[in-house]
Amino acid sequence: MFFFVIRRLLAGIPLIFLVFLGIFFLVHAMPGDPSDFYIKPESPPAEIQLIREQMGLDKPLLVQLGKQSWNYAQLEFGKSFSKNVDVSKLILEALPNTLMLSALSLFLIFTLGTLMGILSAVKQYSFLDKGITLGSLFLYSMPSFWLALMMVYVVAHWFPSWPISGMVGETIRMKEAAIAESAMLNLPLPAGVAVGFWERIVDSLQHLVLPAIALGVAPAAGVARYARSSMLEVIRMDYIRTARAKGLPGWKVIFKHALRNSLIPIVTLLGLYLPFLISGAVLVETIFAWPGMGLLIVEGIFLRDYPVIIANGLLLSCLVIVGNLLADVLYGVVDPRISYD
Amino acid sequence: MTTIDPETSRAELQPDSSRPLVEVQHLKKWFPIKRGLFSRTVGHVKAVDDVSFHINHSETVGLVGESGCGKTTVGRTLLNLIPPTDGRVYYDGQDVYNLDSMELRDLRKHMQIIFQDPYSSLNPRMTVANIVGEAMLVHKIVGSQEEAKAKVGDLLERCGLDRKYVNRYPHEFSGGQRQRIGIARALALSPSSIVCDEAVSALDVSIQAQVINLLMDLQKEFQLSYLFIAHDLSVVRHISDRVLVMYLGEIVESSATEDLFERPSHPYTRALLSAIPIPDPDANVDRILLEGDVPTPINPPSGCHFHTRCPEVMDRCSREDPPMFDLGQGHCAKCWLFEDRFPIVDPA
Amino acid sequence: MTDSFKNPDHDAGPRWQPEYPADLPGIWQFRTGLPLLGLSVVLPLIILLGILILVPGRVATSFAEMDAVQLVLLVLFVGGTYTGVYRRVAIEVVAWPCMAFLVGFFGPGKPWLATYFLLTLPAILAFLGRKHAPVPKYLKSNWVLTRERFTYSTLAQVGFLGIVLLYCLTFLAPYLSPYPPNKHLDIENLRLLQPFVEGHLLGTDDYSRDILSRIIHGAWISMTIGIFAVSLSVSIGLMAGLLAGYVGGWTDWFIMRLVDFLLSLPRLVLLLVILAVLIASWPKDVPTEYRIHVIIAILAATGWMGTARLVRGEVLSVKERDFVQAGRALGLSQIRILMGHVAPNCLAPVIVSATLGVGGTILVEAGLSFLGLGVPPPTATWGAMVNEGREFLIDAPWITFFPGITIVIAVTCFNLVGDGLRDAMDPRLASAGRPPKGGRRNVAPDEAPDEGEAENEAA
Repeated sequence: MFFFVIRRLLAGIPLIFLVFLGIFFLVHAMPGDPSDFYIKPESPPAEIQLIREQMGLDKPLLVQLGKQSWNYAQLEFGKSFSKNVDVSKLILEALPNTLMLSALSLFLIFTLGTLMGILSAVKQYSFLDKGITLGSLFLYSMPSFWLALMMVYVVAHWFPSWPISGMVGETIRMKEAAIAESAMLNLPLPAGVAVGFWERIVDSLQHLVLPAIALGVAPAAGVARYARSSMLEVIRMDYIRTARAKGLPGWKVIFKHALRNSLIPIVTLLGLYLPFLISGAVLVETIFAWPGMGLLIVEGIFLRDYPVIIANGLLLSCLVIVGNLLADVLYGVVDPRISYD
Repeated sequence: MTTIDPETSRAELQPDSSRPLVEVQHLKKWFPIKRGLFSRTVGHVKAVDDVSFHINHSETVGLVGESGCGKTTVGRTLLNLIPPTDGRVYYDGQDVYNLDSMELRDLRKHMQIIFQDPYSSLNPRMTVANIVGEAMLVHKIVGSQEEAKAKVGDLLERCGLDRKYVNRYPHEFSGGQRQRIGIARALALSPSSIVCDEAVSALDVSIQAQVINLLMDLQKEFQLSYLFIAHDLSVVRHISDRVLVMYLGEIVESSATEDLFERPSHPYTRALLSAIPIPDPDANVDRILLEGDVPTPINPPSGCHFHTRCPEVMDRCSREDPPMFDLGQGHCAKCWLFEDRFPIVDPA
Repeated sequence: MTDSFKNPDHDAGPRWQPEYPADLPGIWQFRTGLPLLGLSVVLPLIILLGILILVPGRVATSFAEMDAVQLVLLVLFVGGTYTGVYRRVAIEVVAWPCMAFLVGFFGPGKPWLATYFLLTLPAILAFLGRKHAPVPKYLKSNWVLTRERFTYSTLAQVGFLGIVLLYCLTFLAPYLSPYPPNKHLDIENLRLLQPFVEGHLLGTDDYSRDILSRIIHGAWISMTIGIFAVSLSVSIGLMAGLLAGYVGGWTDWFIMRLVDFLLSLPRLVLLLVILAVLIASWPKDVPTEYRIHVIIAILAATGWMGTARLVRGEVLSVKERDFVQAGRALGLSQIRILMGHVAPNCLAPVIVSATLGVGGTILVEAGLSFLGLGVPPPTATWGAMVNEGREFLIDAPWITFFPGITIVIAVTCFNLVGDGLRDAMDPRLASAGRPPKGGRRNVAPDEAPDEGEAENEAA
């Protein structure tokens, strides 16, 4: 198993390089000067010269490719046009946020989706089943960004105190501003201003909930449909009938026997949903101003900030590749028929 | 013998009755087993391992054996549907494996095949007319679709089906009807030799009888020769002129039908025959029970392939593979038991 | 190529003739327990009549505005359609691609295209909605049987009806929308009007543009991009899959590696990067109308992989079936076997995934428009409208709500039809759908065996 993981990781590297190659050629195949993608207009000439050297923009293509690959391998992504910071710094700040969001969404999708699916399968033909089926069909057809906006509307009107934007709430921000101010002026901290650990956690979760739901609802509906049909198939199997005939209570039969087997195709589905999640994060983060990679890339697009766009695109692809690997490993864990040798 | 028909300037195969129609010489088909990252070949499934026989004109040769002994592979390799690993097949003197694509296409008109599974042998998206008549149009035996349809109707009637069926789709037909359609399709190009690959094994017994009688009638009418592959010995006995017994990729005995059933010589044949059910509950049957399972064709046993299960195994059998011995009157067997009394023969 | 022999309507006996008026398209469906299909014929006709009655002025104007070329095309197109229907040629094959091409190429909202559609609609409905001869089951091809099983599911038919109406909306947009979509009606008085106010069913946006009109015109983008991108990607995927599955060897290896690679990338991100770079370096002399074609091309280029994988799997299993071997034994050429025997039997999952794919593509396109990377403004597209409404979400939610709900409805319809097709194509098990209770009142004489049946059943 260990070697399998190592092998796949190694196999992922040429894949990532291929993506990089693709972007590189895309940039160079476009009409127009490729330097526009690396050099901010109106930069001082000294800086232009520096970047030209760093990226090898005056040298032949292959040299450029070599230089830029080397830069990227060292996580040197250049400087953002709009924010004048190193792109790698921006990404480092944004990456954990996106991961948090994706992780929570994944959790939601998996639990909610399979639960709904199983419920619907076990009570087939009931109103619950029909309701869940129709409901999930509807939710599955919803654009995530629209759902996000509708949620924002509802929350803003009926739960005005719930945060709908950003990652850090007002209170904490004010507290932090106060702390920074007093640090600057060398004054002692006023009482009750310290930001507690749990306070921060609760605050983050509060901000995380809405985007995670918006991101996860549509895939959850998809998983629910899939789980339903997978469960229906498993329920009809003879070994389930045997378990029931042995006198096992209904729920035990479902959770101990049927679930494990119907999980197998669902796990593969999750692996498939990963690129979808990462992509979807782009739209949801934009709406909720969640400071993740998606927001970074969208802002980059609006501001024509090419180093950000390119680096971000590459990294998001990496995330997906790693995610697929994890899904494969998980698949091997869940399905005893598969062995990696 | 190939002659040129002066009317059409096409090469026509004129069957020459003095020699066998089909000659198979040392046919081998090994399937490679691939493992690993780069699909390395780690072994072979030796489905057909040096098989030689011949089929004469208007003759039915039965090929029997257990499941997995390679009979279906022989049938398909014969027709070049599966390319062989080694060996030669001569159809009326022409080397079947050495033809270019045009010649191969012409040869197709002479050798045809009927499949075992009536439910997967007909394209569910085509009407019967299309299924049977497509080849006729492609080979330009008929000029137009109406003509083809008429001919297909004739063929269907000849095979015991109603003419009207030409416009129907296969999904409503029964197994027996589908097999008849398959037979009609095989006859569409007027072949002289047909491989019946377990053609009746999937049918109910009563229908089997009907289809077999049909095959025998067709044989008389069109002078067809059959390679009849089956695992049911009583069926084979009814239809075949000669019988070949196969075990694990090799032919272990070959003889005229009645001779085989009266004087089974190879230990395997004897065991097979003793296993045929006799419809008499009081009959005292001495069944020869073979021990063990059929070995895998990936690593057949050394020496004689049957030695691991043979009730009359000798020391020599595990070391050396016996040749074919001629037991007289066209009866041959591949067993060291006959070494002393009979000459060796090369069945090719 | 598959069925070279024309299938007469019946084995033998007198040809079935439809009886009017009971067998008129649109009427016979109601009489045989298929009301939703009947509506699919009747509702467009009602819309047609409505247009002619309520806004004849617009129709007349469009005639007046046509130039010579368009008039000639009109005569040819309309004349051709009616002749084709009269002679029972499959117009689906000819007219629709032409229509789609015209619409796709010349852009939305052109009144003259809408007039073409208006004039040919009755013929198209009459042809597609015609009654087929009631024929015994053994004369029905797989496709006909699938079509029938499709009608067992009510939801699937609802989806179908929805799609029909959506396409009518798409093509008849100039006549159906109450106001021009991009016109600022009265920027002082009429901006940000609430819905259900007189004259504006769905309200107006910040620039006093009527929302309903914009939605109707926006249908064009989504529906056209959906269908075109999916058709293109399915074609590519089909060819790739057939090649990989049938030829095998290095071709298979190469194509599958390519598929694996492309599938491992997040589609939206890829689209974003490519489009961002493309739009930035859009050459000055190329008009922005072509952006839609570029979008379709890129959507197709990033969407063919699923089909390819699917097709390859099907080909691998169909290849081993006996009738394919029989084809080789009969000396049919490889091309003929591939196209005539293998490919038609691989199509079932492709059709399902294509239909579901249209829904997915509509969502992706909406996402791109939302981010401003879709078709450039001022063309109304549903995604862009949702974006425009963001600013005013709290106070004027209708600007975001209505375009979004339209997207949901459109995608739901395609998903329903896709699900329906999937269920119809699976070999039906006993527990799954049956003909609706109360059933068909015009069942084919399946149960009446003709004379020779009984004896032939024995064989």
